[in-house]
Amino acid sequence: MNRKTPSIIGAAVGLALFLAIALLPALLYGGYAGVLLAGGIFGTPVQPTFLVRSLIMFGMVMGALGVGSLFAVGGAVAGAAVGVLTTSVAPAKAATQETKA
Amino acid sequence: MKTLLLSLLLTFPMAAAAADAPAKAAAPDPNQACFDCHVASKPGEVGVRPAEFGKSVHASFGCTDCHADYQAPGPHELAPLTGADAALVARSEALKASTAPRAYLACGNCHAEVVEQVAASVHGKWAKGDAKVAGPTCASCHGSVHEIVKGVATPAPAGATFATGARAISERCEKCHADPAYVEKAGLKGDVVVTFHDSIHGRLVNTGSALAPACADCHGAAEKDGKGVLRPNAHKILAKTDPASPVAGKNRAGTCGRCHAGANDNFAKLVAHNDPAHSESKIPHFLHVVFSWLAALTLIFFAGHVALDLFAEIRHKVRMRKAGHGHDPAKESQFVQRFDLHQRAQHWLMLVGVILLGVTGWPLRGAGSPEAIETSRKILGLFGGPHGAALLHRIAAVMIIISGGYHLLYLVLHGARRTLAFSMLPGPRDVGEIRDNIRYMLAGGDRPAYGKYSYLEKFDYWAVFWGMIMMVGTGFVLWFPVFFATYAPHWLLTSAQIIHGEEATLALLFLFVVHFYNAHLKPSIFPMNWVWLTGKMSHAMLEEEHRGQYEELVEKKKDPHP
Ligand code: HEC
Ligand code: HEC
Ligand code: HEC
Ligand code: HEC
Ligand code: HEC
Ligand code: HEC
Ligand code: HEC
Repeated sequence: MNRKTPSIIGAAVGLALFLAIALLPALLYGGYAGVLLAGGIFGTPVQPTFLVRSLIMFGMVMGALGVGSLFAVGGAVAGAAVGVLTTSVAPAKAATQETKA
Repeated sequence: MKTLLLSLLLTFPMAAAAADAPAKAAAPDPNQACFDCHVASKPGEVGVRPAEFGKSVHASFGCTDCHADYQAPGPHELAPLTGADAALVARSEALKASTAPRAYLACGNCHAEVVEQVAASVHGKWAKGDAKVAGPTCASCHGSVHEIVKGVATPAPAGATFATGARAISERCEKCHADPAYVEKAGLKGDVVVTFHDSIHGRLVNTGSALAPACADCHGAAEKDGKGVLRPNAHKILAKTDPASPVAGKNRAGTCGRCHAGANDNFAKLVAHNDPAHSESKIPHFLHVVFSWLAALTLIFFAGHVALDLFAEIRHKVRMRKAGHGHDPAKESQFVQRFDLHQRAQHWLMLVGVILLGVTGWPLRGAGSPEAIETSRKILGLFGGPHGAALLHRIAAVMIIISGGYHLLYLVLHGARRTLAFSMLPGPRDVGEIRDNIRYMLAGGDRPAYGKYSYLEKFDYWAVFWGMIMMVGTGFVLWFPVFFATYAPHWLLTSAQIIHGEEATLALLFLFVVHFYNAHLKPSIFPMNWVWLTGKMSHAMLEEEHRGQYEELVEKKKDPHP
């Protein structure tokens, strides 16, 4: 097994989790961040002009990418941690068995 | 005599038992005569739902306790009213305020004080003057009169001097105050409900806070209840122009002071249904515009940078594969020390702190969007609600402050020992590298031979200084708003609210999209650059990412893998 494998698996799990539970909220929050930025740039109340819509879309994309990255990286770190634990525990077990034998 | 007593004693418990038994239904309901014609099956339908009426606070009363004069069967002939009662009912009928206006005359028989209070309040005006629309009846706030249950006022938390009122009733204020057509006719200010939900208090209430104020908690007169705890009295709401109103002039500070001990006039100007960006001073508005542009442009620039880099990465991979480049195991197993333990510890504190700040902070900000309230409530619920999240937010803030202090101390100690490296300082070399890298990403060729830190890493580093000053500075203002209101001008507090929100958006999106891409997710680095854990970087990666530094190293050390 490659040294990277556990963290890649972890990242995939993180990403799957993101798609299952966090994609929608991320789009909502990102879109709202876009609305707030548009309010500052074009003034409130925000009118649905092309530029405002683009900024909201941009916010949604950034929200999804940001939260998705958080899940993927969190998953990768968790995967790496599991990888380190399992690989360091396995030889230790083997060692104790040897001493018993 | 004795036998009478005995039989009484015997029949009492039996009577009680009989009352509990299903046989109770056999006892004729005195209201049955009316139910013959007036049973409703769903809420909103004309008539009374017997089961709900049976659970209401008035269950023990007869229909005619309120509907005086009514007799079965209907339609009903009622004796004409006289005097004030007649005028009141006539107004109510004219404005279609109620399906049975006469019934409200009865409330005063048992709730005289309340009826007087409501009549004297701003909500009683319509019944006296010539209003164009009906103002509230008792049912507007309490819901269907036949189904009133005891108000579920929040119990006062230990040590609190003020207990917030029944949330469900405050929600009913919105039926009128948020209805554009109604507000227009009544000549009321239209956006009070929107601005409330947008305010820090509205977001807290919506995400489940029992401590933050809803409408009646600021607008109702505060009165001591039986236990000496102050509670809002929603029957005594006054126009803001009335000098006795809790939100008028000098009273306002005391109203905020119900919960914010020591609040002064300067503090009290902070939240009053206005968009913080449009307060008296021009400075908050100016900062709002500046920070929105700053955040948007920075994010657009770096999002573009990420997109270009991804494109270049893929192109590079394809070319490497075609050229049949392999890995050099020797270079992969040799390392340079990049970060010492102190630097890594500073980064760990910072990253845990910032992620916690993000997940406990953004949901509260996001709750300003009606569609996101449910999500925010659930996320903050993971931390025990908005106040649990607020505590964690402060702990996380302390973590990043420690990290920052630790880093400054680290720099000072290195400076004193003359071992401070200046590799982080931006210089003319970076300008050339920005140009070369953009050319590389667009057109291919060679990547710039970065030194120890590329311009992206330098930006990451210095952006943290800026971000820390902005977020920690404004965060303290929000943490101790009463203190700052005592010494600082009002615009500073309002500006702090604006900057804290906008800068948080910028920082989080930058870190999670741009920094995470560069340090973890870009194809050549995925799943991550391990340096944040191990402090070491392989020669292979150094050659790839920091060719300038790698070449220097080879020069110096006569590295076996040139
Ligand atoms: C035989 C059927 C019948 C019975 C029994 C009856 N009502 Fe009515 N009631 C009516 C009708 C029909 C109307 C509608 C009258 C109208 O629209 O003018 C009505 C209307 C009402 C209204 C609405 C307000 C109004 O004046 O229009 C109230 C309140 C009311 N009844 C109370 C009672 C009470 C209290 C009782 C029991 C003492 C009762 N009713 C028994 C038929 C009945
Ligand atoms: C605590 C006082 C009270 C009692 C007790 C009461 N009512 Fe009412 N009732 C009212 C009020 C107030 C209204 C007017 C509601 C409104 O303004 O929307 C009303 C309205 C009505 C109406 C008019 C239609 C409607 O649904 O709004 C009917 C019918 C009626 N009541 C029947 C009854 C019957 C039958 C009973 C006995 C089971 C009863 N009421 C008990 C206060 C009372
Ligand atoms: C015959 C007396 C009587 C009449 C008439 C009456 N009520 Fe009540 N009401 C009571 C009693 C008794 C209680 C229960 C008080 C308690 O348990 O503390 C009560 C409780 C209430 C409550 C208390 C809810 C809470 O949060 O505790 C409301 C609201 C209320 N009544 C509204 C009305 C309205 C509106 C009318 C007129 C349509 C009305 N009542 C007419 C006797 C009356
Ligand atoms: C503007 C909204 C509003 C209106 C109008 C209103 N109430 Fe209330 N009422 C409240 C609120 C809020 C409470 C407090 C509930 C709590 O916190 O437990 C309350 C509590 C009560 C209570 C129980 C506590 C107390 O103060 O005795 C009674 C009884 C009551 N109302 C009766 C009435 C009657 C009768 C009317 C009509 C004359 C009326 N209310 C009109 C909002 C209103
Ligand atoms: C934190 C306390 C607070 C809360 C909570 C609050 N308000 Fe206010 N409200 C105020 C203050 C302060 C003013 C006076 C504003 C001014 O002078 O510009 C005010 C003013 C108003 C006005 C008069 C506006 C005008 O300029 O004519 C209305 C109507 C109003 N509030 C309704 C509501 C409603 C409805 C809610 C709940 C959705 C609510 N308020 C929640 C503090 C509060
Ligand atoms: C039936 C609709 C209705 C409901 C429900 C209602 N209001 Fe009002 N409110 C009005 C009307 C109408 C006025 C204006 C009265 C006038 O000036 O004649 C008003 C006035 C006010 C004012 C004074 C505004 C000013 O000019 O400063 C405040 C504050 C207020 N309401 C708060 C509340 C709160 C808090 C609640 C809920 C507990 C509430 N209202 C529920 C209709 C309503
Ligand atoms: C019913 C209690 C209550 C009342 C009344 C009240 N607030 Fe608050 N307010 C809160 C709570 C709870 C928070 C959240 C505090 C926290 O998280 O530290 C808060 C937060 C704030 C904040 C954000 C800063 C912070 O501490 O997070 C400001 C600003 C603020 N309130 C201003 C006001 C003003 C101005 C008034 C009067 C017009 C007012 N409040 C009335 C309960 C109240």
